[in-house]
Amino acid sequence: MNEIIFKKQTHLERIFFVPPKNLGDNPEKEVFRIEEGADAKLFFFYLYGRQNIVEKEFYIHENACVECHTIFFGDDSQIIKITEKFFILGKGVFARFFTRGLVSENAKGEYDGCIRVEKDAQMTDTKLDIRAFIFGKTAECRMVPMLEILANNVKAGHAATISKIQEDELFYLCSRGLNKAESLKLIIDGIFQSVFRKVSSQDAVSEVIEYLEKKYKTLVL
Amino acid sequence: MKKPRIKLNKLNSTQESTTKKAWEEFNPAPYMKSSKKGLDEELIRQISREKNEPQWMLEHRLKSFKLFQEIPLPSWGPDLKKLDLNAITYYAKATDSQTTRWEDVPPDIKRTFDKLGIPEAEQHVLAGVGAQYESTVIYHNLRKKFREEGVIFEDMDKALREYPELVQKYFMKCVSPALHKFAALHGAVWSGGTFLYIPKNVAVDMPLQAYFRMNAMGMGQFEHTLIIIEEGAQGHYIEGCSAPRYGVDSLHAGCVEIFVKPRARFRYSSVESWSKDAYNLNTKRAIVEKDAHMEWVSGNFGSKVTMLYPCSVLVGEGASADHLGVAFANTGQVQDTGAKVVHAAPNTTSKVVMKSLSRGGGVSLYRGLLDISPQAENAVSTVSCDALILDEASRSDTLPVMKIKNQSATIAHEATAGKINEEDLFYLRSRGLNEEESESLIVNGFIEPITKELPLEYAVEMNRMIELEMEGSVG
Repeated sequence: MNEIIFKKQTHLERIFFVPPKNLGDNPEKEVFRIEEGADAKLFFFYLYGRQNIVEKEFYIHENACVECHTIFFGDDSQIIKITEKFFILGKGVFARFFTRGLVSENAKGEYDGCIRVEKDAQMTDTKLDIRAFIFGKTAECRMVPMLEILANNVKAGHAATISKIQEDELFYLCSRGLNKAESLKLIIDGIFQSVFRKVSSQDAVSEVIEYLEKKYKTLVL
Repeated sequence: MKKPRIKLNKLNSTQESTTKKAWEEFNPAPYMKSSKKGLDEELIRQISREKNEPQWMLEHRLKSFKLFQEIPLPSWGPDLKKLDLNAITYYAKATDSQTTRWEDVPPDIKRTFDKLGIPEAEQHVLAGVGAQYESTVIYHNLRKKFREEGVIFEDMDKALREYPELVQKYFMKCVSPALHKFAALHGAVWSGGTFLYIPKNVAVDMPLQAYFRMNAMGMGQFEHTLIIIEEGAQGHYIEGCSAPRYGVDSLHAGCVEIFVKPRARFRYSSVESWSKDAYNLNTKRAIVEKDAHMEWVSGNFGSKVTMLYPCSVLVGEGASADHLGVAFANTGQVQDTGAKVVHAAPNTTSKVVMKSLSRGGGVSLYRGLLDISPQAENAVSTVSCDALILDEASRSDTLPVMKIKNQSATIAHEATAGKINEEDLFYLRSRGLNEEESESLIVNGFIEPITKELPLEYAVEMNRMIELEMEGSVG
């Protein structure tokens, strides 16, 4: 089990490429502890590997502020299975968990996310926001966004959407002179830009964009 | 026609006591002396013999009993291990006869239904009524106008005798006994219930109602509701149920099967108010064909544990379903409810709106399934679940599962959980309402998207039930 601790009163951004490019295996369950008053920004990119089966637990303490972004992209029979559990342990926590993903061409994407607000975690504000896109007739997606709320004086919510790439958006871009591959690239970039904008490391963003651009060419319209 | 706005009247103490009494009072049950606890093959054969059933039904019961013995309890959800299935009375007849006149119903039973308001509702707003007491239907009637149009509204036992081919064609074809342990139990010991058949292009423009009442201690009720709405037909059916409280577990494992044929429209409404020692493990499912529309409107109150997930299977192109529901979990209660929708055809749509409240340590869960099959091109679905947690002791969980196997699907889901807004409370109190009245008003507003879909009288009844559940919520 890997454990990463965000110490009290720290402000930290961590970027994870999962799994590392050259390894076939996934890491074991990962545990993230965000201590009292810490300010944590985390980015997870699930791009590589035949199988991405990941389990993560987050333990978030009093007055911590957490923003967590997950991007996954699966094609060509990749299997992506992400399980995230967010334990809100203390009062005053503000947390937002965003997941954006695309599956195409025989790929299977599964996401199980759970926000658990413990009894003492009053006056917390948490939200889980998942957007997934399915591309291609044989891709599949399964999503389970869960809430377990044991405190009453809280704001907690989740939202999830699953859809295809909208044809009228593709049509509009094609009508502006772009070919289909270019139009698709623009739309998918737009989906992930909301995450890229927040990453401070341009090298990391460039690596993701470079990977995605190779993948766009193989997407069948 | 525009529906009248529902006027909320605070219950006075007389009204409160009448409503509560109607649910909680019980009649003596001398018939229980000839009934036994627990379940064996001999009891199943006795049930079938007394009902004079065809051979195929007895065989069905016995196969279901075998499945019941083999299938384990579910490994998820509320803990059912404390339910002692050997202490339940599975079959008890309070009276031998059924009538179409309330005057002929045994006086103590009639008094119970009078207090519940059933005969009065029948006179004013209903097309027909079925009333079940323990294991048998004691009253059944349908307005002449609908009988003449070919509508069949009978209790299930009678329908099995009078329309055997029709019943055999559909009985437990929508809900298989192999689905889970309590579907198998139901298949073995079902008794009473409703058979509704609306012929092609007939519109029944008044609701039909069935009311199920458990009376004796440790009773089990296993009514079967089978509804067939033929092509182009329309109807609305309401079920109500209640049981008094003894402090001893009782069990309700009913089953509702609805077949909505092409271009038909059907609404199934239910207001369940079982006693707080009842296990309510109901199974409800509808198969919706081409261009047909199915609506579920449900209010779940009472019971110690409810596990109830009405399911719509959209098998025809253009089929649609709406699921609207309210669940209130009070002290010692677990309301594990939700909705399941399977999109199995192109251009199908569904909408799920669920509201839950938990108070006094109660636990409310939304458990849902949205399944988009590979052949369900252009399916659209929205799911919205909101939970109000009324105090620090209570809990709310949301577990929606979405399985999407078609890229053209458009799915949206949202859920919120929180408490009553302090500013809203402050505003109402500044207008002269006390804290309890203010909370009740806000809660009734919270569930208004559901109650507005019920006929006015039932919406008022549901609001009253909320008020009774909210009693003592302040201080």
